[in-house]
Amino acid sequence: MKVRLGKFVVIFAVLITSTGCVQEVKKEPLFIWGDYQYTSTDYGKHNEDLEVVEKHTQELEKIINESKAGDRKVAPGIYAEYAELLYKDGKKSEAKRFFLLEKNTYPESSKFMNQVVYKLYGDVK
Amino acid sequence: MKKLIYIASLLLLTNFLSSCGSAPIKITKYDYSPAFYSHHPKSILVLPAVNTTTAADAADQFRYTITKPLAEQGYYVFPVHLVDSFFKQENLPEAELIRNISIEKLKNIFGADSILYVDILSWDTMYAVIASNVDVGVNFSLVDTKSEKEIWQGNVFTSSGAKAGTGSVGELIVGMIEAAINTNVDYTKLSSKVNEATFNNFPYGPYHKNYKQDSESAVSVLGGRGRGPSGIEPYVKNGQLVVWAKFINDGVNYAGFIQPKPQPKGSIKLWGMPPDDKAHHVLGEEYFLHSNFEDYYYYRIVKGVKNLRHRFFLYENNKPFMFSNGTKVFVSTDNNNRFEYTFVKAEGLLDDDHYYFNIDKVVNFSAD
Repeated sequence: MKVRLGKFVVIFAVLITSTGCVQEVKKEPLFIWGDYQYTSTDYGKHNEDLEVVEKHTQELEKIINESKAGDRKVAPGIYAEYAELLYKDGKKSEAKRFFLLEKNTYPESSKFMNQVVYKLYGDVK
Repeated sequence: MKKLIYIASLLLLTNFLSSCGSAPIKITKYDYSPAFYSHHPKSILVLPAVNTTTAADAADQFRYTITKPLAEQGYYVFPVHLVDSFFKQENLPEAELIRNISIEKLKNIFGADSILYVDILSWDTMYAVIASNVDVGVNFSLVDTKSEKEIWQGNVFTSSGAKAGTGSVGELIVGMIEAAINTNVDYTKLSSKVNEATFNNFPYGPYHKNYKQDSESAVSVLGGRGRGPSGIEPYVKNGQLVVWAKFINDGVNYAGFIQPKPQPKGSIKLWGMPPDDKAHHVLGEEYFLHSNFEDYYYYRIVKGVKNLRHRFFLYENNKPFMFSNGTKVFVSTDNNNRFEYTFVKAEGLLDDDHYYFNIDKVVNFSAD
């Protein structure tokens, strides 16, 4: 019995130390974010800088395309932020499409999106 | 020989287990925030952070990195830049003004289930004074828009004294110190790491596969490393809550712990090596081993009511408590919500200094 217990402890010790911390759970990301954290921060701080705006726009575009290519849901807010940038760039009808995409992808946003769209376009469709 | 392998394995195992989060207080996500589970929001509106520090950039840094960790927990997070534009158009550019908007009004505008209030309490780079030292303190409070109740809270306090560890705030800070050599600190990285650490213990939302299935999962909340019967967490003795000094104190240099010493310019030496290396909400002792926080109390404003809070305690209905041995130990407060303590210095061993708090009540939260 003692030998068995010893064996068990040895096996357990080797197993547990080789598999890493018991509490550590590997997380599979839900969404694709790319460099969003950085371009979004830059944009938030220097949205008067055209280069910064351009970079953030491109990053959002990339996130949308990569998500679609990987058959994944686009992360919350990405469509809406992209839409706002398009609107500011004068691409108003394309912008509207993305505002509505946000609303359709995330019904939680409908109230806010309706308000934004109504303000910008005068209707909600 | 067999015996030797056996003993070696035992040693290996003990050593490994003790390095593995060092026996956290056993609480579940439900224990940590029961109110959350009775309201369970699906969407979160993050308001601009109120910044009480002198670092002008800090609030923005936090705000722009908060979407990702919250969305990854399975929530709909309202697009920050669009929300900002909205407030600007409404002539509300200041975080303090936005903070005063009633919950009802915000709910009507955004249709959000919950609102996250963020206060930056500390954000200092001290590298000019004592080598490289960065103190960051952030308080989070989530309020349900229907009941207008606070349903979750989180505090992160850390400094460059925190030890490096996998995925911890400490590791990040070490990276920051390296960056600080060139006085070029990557605050976006710091912010996102603090945010990630904070929301790691946040219940999962509807877009996550474990939505509503995580109430029993363990939360990594560490207690002070008390020298009491349990050996590790705050404990009750003679009708008082006893907390190890390292848990609360700052400004004291403990042997082997934080000992800030001026370093020659350009050279960086890490001095802080607390035993635990994980990022925790609150109660993680490494967050308290710092020297730059001015005051332990801060104001939390919920529903327009200003409440005094203490950094190292959790709050339920605005009453301060600590987790201890399967219970919530509430400490007695005065009319101003402050509480008194007695500090008992141990003779000889610095490690054994303790704080004593008067107890208001002890509440069991374990189901069994």
